[in-house]
Amino acid sequence: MLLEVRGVSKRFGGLQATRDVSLALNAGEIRGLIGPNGAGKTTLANLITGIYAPDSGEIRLRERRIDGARPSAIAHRGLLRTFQNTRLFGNLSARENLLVTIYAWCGLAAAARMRDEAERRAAHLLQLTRLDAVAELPARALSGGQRALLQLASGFMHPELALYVLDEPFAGINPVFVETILELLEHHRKHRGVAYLVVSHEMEIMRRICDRVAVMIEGAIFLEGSLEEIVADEAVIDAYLGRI
Amino acid sequence: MKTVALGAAAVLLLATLPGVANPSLLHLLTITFYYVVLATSWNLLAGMTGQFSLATQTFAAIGAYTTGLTVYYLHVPIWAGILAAVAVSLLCGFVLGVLVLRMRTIYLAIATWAFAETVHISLGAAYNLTRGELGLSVPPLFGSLEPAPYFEVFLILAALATLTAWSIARSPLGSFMRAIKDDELRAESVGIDTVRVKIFVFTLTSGMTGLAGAFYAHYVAILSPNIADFSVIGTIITMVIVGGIGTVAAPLIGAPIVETLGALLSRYGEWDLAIFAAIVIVLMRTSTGGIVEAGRRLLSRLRQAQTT
Ligand SMILES: Nc1ncnc2c1ncn2[C@@H]1O[C@H](COP(=O)(O)OP(=O)(O)O)[C@@H](O)[C@H]1O
Ligand SMILES: [Mg+2]
Repeated sequence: MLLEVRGVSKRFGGLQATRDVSLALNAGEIRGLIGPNGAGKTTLANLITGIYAPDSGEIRLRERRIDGARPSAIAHRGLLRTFQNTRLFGNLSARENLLVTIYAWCGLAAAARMRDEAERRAAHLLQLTRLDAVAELPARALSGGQRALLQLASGFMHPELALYVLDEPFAGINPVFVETILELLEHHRKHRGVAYLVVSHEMEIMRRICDRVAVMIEGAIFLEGSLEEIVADEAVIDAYLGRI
Repeated sequence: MKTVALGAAAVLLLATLPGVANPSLLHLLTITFYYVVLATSWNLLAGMTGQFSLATQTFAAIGAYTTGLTVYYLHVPIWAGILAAVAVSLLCGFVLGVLVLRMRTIYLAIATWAFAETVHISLGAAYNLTRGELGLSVPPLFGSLEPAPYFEVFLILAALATLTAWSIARSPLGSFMRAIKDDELRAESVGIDTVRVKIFVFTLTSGMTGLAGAFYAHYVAILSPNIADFSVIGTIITMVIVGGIGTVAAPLIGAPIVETLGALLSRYGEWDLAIFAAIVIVLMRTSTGGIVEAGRRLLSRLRQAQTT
């Protein structure tokens, strides 16, 4: 088992943002996570990636506990994420935004040795995402779509990426970029067994890429199954699909 | 490499200055070089890493008083006093770095300010030990107070500080620092150990400042708590902002301008800080790239106005 979330709960003041959430992912798997706004999807991503520590429950990556660990330590073990509202290092160039991931992974002592490898990977990703023309611009100067692509690409710089949590990677993205994103995901899944937890409302995309989908409602996992099973479930239609 | 060669040439050229310049100019430049080190230190910490400390002058004081007191009371040789100064500054920088680790900008500024004023006041209050405002007499480094050899020493210190900042800025560590300044949460999320980087930068810059402060003590010969005065950090911040905050060259551009301006204004009383504050406000509103960037923009706007 790559990721195991067991009975995780998180409360913000009077609000139970996640309640008793359990979830398991295998290497190379693509798991969808859907649910209405405010259901706790982003909170779950934050718990898995160490931004918050859960109030109760445990999270394991390859059998080892990661709940309560710092995000940088979790990232080091191959678990990365993107943010729903794209976050980049605005004053670093697009290329530097990519390089930082690999240097953070290998550490400063090994950075000089990794340099050629890092530059090669960055050049490759910049080309794949067609960001090579803007590679030297500060990230804040990029368009929204380019920024989202760059944020996603930065994770693939990690040499030991095992699980990539993507928080609404397609929201507000031009369809041309969507295809590029899907190619990237599939490439890294096929060639190095990267698994994904994808939070998204894009049902058509979810149907194409996800092995299984989990539905989250009011902080709890309500149902898990193939997208066909889920869209057929009347309770889900009532609680969620009916609303959009 | 070209930049290093150019810098080395500039340093060598400056090193010949004592042959031609008068002592008061040499003194002004010596103090300017001292400020280049302090401003470089603050620029690494605040300008590049986003840790808006208000205690840079305090580490200069810690370095200065460490060597001053150990040489005065323990009669150790000056070089041992300076070594002790660096060690104590590094240690204090490390401890302060750990204490303010989780603080966001404004809280960090307030906490470092409180630390700075505590040290400043203690230096005056502990007059039994430090002789307070009367001043602690510290043996000059070269026997006499003739500025020429001190000029060379501070030139080397400024050059080393600049070289350090330049190599850091180009290295992956520099990217980590700028990443932390831009978005600390994302920096953690991509795997940067932000705790280690921040503590390292705090410690390094404190040691660097302490070293400059120690040499300063053996130049001024009478050491008073003034060295830790809050106006010093105001001057440092002005220098960095005038030079272009976050850029390696900022102290090299800002320190001579501000130091010269300060010398010119000194005959009119305490107006210098008010004028510096005004400059900082104008620059922050128009161009965070500093005076060079502001000038460049003004030129291109004038040119545009001409063509239309
Ligand atoms: N840091 C926080 N502090 C307080 N409340 C929060 C915090 N983060 C999320 N919440 C609340 O938790 C609930 C779940 O939010 P979120 O996980 O962002 O939902 P989703 O991503 O499914 O739209 C929301 O009601 C949100 O307001
Ligand atoms: Mg969300």
